Parts: sequence; C-alpha cells; structure tokens
Amino acid sequence: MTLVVATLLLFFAGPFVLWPLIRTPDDGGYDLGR
Amino acid sequence: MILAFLGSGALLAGLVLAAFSALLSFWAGSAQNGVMIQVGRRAFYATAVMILGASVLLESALLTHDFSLAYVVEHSDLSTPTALVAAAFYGGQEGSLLYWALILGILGSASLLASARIGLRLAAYAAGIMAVILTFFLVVLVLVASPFDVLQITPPDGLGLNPVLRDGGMLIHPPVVLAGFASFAIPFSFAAAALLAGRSDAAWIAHTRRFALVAWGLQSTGLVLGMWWAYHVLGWGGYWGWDPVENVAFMPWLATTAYLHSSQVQERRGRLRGWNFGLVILAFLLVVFGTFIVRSGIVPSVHTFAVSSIGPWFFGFLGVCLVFSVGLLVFRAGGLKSRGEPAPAVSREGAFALQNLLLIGVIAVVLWGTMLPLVSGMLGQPRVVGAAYYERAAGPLFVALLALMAAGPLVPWRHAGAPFWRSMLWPAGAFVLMLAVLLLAGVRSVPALLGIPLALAVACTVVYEYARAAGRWRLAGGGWSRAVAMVGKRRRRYGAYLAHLGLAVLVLGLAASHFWQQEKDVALQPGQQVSVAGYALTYAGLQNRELADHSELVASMTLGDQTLEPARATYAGLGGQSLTHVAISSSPIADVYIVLVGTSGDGSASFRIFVNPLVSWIWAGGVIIILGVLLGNAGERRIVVALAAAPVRSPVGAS
Repeated sequence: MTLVVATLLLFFAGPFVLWPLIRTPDDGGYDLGR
Repeated sequence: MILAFLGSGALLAGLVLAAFSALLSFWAGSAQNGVMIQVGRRAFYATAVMILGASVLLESALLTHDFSLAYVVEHSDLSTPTALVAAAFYGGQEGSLLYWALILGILGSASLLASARIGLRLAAYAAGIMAVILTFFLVVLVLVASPFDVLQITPPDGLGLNPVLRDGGMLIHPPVVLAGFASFAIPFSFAAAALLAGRSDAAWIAHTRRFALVAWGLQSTGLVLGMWWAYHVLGWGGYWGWDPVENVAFMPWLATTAYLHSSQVQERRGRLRGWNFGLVILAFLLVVFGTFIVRSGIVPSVHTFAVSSIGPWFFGFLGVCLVFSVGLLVFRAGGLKSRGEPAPAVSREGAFALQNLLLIGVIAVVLWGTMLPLVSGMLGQPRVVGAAYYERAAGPLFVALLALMAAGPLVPWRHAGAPFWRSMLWPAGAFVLMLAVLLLAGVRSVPALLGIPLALAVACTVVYEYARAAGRWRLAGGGWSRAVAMVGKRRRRYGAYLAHLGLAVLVLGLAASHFWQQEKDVALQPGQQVSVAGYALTYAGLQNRELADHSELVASMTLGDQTLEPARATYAGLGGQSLTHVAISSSPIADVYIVLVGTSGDGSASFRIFVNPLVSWIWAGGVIIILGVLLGNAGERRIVVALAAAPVRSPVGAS
C-alpha cells in the first residue's frame, strides 16, 4: 500500500519536476542558462 | 490506518525524489547542463512538499487522536491539552527527525530560490549536498524511525507526553532549537558547493552569511529559550548546567559566531579564505556530532531521547560528512591561500583573528568536557565533568572575548592610529569606574571583578558607536528620513552592535545571578514568615487542586501584595510521576524563586528559596540580540545580490 501511494505521489510530482524538459523554448523563451 | 499509508508513502516518494535530486544536481552541475540543474532543483522542492505533506498528516493524526499509530500512542493521550498534543509532533524521536527534515526542506528551498545570482553550477552542487542530507534523513525516517508505524491493536488512549514536556516552553524551545540545528546545513551546503566548484571568492560568503545569520539567530533564540525553560521548569534555581545537550547546541553557535566575524575579513581584505570554509564546515559537523550524542543516548542527559537504533546511522553519517569535508578542504587547499596583505596585530583583522582563536578555544574546552565522560567510560574509568571544569577552563577565554568585544568595534581596519586610542578611553573609563564601584562594595571575586566591568565596557562601546552615528546624523541636518536612511545603509553594522549590546546585557545577568545567587532551605508552618536577602515571605497554607491531566498540591506564599504558588504535580495517568512547579516573582532587580520540596500531614511544608539577581536581564539580552539579528538581516537581499553578482560571473549564467 505504501508503495502504491508513493508511486501515485511520484506520478503527480512528475510534471512539476520535469517541467523544464517538457517545456519547449517557444513556450516562453526558457533560458537554458548558457 | 489510511493516514499511515499516506504518510509513509509521502516519505518514500520524498526519499526517491531527494536521491534523484542529489544525483541529478551533481551530474548536471559538473556537466553545466542548465535544464537538468533546474530539474534537480525542482526535485528538491518536490521533496520538501512531500515532507510537508507527511508532517501535516502526522499532525492531523495527533490532533484527531489516531491511536492506530505507535507514535501517537507513545507521545500523546486524550487528557493532554490540544496545544501540547500538537507539540508532540516534535516531542519524540521520529517526529523530531521529520520536523528537522521539514525545516531543511523549507530553508533549503528558500536558499535555492534566493541563489539566482551566485551561479547555476554552485547552486546545483549546493542543491545536491542538501538533497544528500535530506536523503539521509528520509532513509532513517523510512527504514529505522518511521513516525507512521501502525500498531496491531489500537489502544483506547495513549501514554501521553513526558510530564517535564507538558509546559508552555514545549511550544517554543524545541521547534526553534531544532530549526536552528537544521539550518546549519544550508551554509554548510553552499560552502562545500563553493569548494566543489572551485569558487573561493567572496561571492559564496555573501550568500552563506545570510543563512549563517539565520542559523545563528535561530540558535541564539533556541539557547536563550532553553535557558528560560530550564529555569522555569526544572526547579534547581539555575538555567545552564553544562549538560551535554546544552553543550552540543552551544558549540555550533560558537563556530558560527566566529564565522560571522571572520567572513568580514575575507569580504574586506581577501584573507582567511580557507579558515572561513573550515568554520562553516565545523559548525555543521558539530551539529551532526551533537545529534549523534542526543539521539544515540550514549551520554546521560536530561534531553536524550529513549535509546534507539538510530545511533549507528548518525555515527555513519558523521563519518561520511567528516571524510567528505576534510577531503574537500585538503583537495582545494592550494587555491585557498590568502591574497591580501597581512595586517598589523592591532587592527580590525587582528581583533577578528584573535576572537576566532578564542572561540575555537572555547569550542575545544566544551568539546572535551562533553567527550571526556564518554571516552573515560570506554577506558573503564568513568569521569564526571562538572560545571567547575567549564568555568575554570572557559572562564578566562570568555573574559578575553569580552575585552575584545569592548575594544574590537572601535579598532579600524588595517591600522589603528591615535583616534582609536582616544576612543578606547570610553570603554576603559566604564571598566575602571565599575571596577572601583565593585571594590568599594566589597566584591573580591576576581571573575566578578572582571566580567561585570567588561560587560559594561562592551555596552559603553556600543553606546559610543551609536552616539558617533547620532553626531554624524545631526551634522548632516537631522530628520527622521535621514536617520532611517543612515541606519538602512549600515544596518548590518548597527544590527551587529545591537547584538553586542544584547550580549553585554545578557552577560551582566549571567554574572550577577551566578556570583550573587542566595539560597535558603526552610520548613514552615502555616502563618510563619521567612526572610531571604531582604525579601519577606509568609507561608499561608496548602491546598489540593485537580486538573485535566494531573493533580497539584499547591503551597501559597505571600510576598508583599503578591501570592506565589509553588506546587508539586502528580500525573496519575503516567504511573504517578510527579514534578515540581516553581513559583517565581520576577523584577528587573532580582527573581524570588520558590521550590516546594516536601509537605507533611500537619500542613507544614519545606521550601528551597533562591534569590537570583538580574536574571530577567538574561532574557532581555536575548531579545535585544534577536532584534540585532533582525535589523542586520532585514532587507539585506539587495546587498547580497549586488555583492554576489559583482566579483565573479557565473560560468553558466543566471537562471
């Protein structure tokens, strides 16, 4: 059960954490820092 | 039950995210990959959110009396007042570790959000190090000390919080001191990250200083609150017992005090670069060492948690931190050579260097005093280290530190000329005057004859500096807006002076209550009077009171028009444990402190009565120190950003 909850939470956290990879530069001129 | 799964699931998810953040941040930092650095950072924020979620769940389990959780059963019961039930969150081993991780998550996230200008690479390494520390805590929380362990049978009521912890102090001292402990990880992470990135310029100092000041402020507050609580609750008439746990909270404070001063030498003169790294790292290592001591139960103390299995984990963590930090310092030693010119001994730099050495001396004294019972026990000849050791060994160092505090702020950078010696007349005059007064009053104790006049000299130096500033303000035309602008421009300096003033007031309170405390043991019949140090107390009689979670045998004493009620509380629900409740009449001159020692069937009672001069000055000094920290830190962001951005351009660029 704990594993299921943890997996679900990670699933929901995914978009927030990976947002810099998901967002394309056209979306708002994300500065890659270079 | 479902709450337990949600809580442990959140901790497990947090662990995965923290480990991911650590690995990714280190890799992305070394590869200078801006996008992945952002991902690693976001994983850190998400970890903090998971920990926050787990904390909210634990708190709601406590408040709803969910006795299916072992932690709730062990640290609360139905009769405990709601505020104290809420405080049980950090009242036990598992909960306090979760609280620690929560503070680290929040402050770590704040430090990363505020790190926009110090360079992505350095910030990525810092995120990596903070994530490693969080990973460690989450491993312990998930595997060894989970606050979400479920009992097989749900009992109808809990065991309740330890009676000593059932006090208003529980609501303020532990959260502040634990937050202080957790916050030392932030400066450590940025210092170690700067070493990893090979950045020994002053840019990291500007960022680290702010969080070091936050940690220092929290720890100062925690220490003073701890003294206040011990004084009000433990009933031995004192506030500081050189207990191992007090010592381990004191040592990182000392190391950070040293850093807050020596970092200025690097900012101004480019010297003491390696030393500054060393101090920040030392403060964190002392925190981990202290946590190991407290959590493992290897030294007896009023604070130690029940003996648990997490000791070896913290011992291992201490070893890893030690090897990593020392290795890093040795690895980067070549690049940490001072660039500025050496300064003459009588200069601000010289004063800071001497102050640092004295503080390290105090740390050594306290560390050995804390370790000796442990080491001697291992060798088969247990030795007890009492207050006398600390007073004899650290006392002269404190006196020298006070003398430096009186002179240091007046010494200019680089070279001290005639104006310095002229300005020294003020604190020297205050010292001599106070010394003469004490001698005339018949005081012959050398520590008192040095400590009290020196504390007054420190205060005099601060007042002199403020008076000089007021003189400049008047010359410039006066006015409120100009005063605000002047203070705003030099708030760091005036904040620091205020902290000095607070410390002087605190030292006066410490010295007076230490040297001139009076104590008397008396047995009184109802209606009988006793006089202690000129305070006349009349014992009126005894009465019994029933409260929600305990019963109290209360003695009434009258002092002038005040009624003081020392009591003994008995907690029937906790196997009849009893506890003394002290009665204190406080004034700026002295506290009358009454402990009910025993009672007999005929209504007579025995008391221990203390008269403690100037104790309230200790608390007032603490408040002034905090005001100084707030003044010195308020609105510093712009300055920090400017300082951090100026000397070095980030190799990757701003985020």
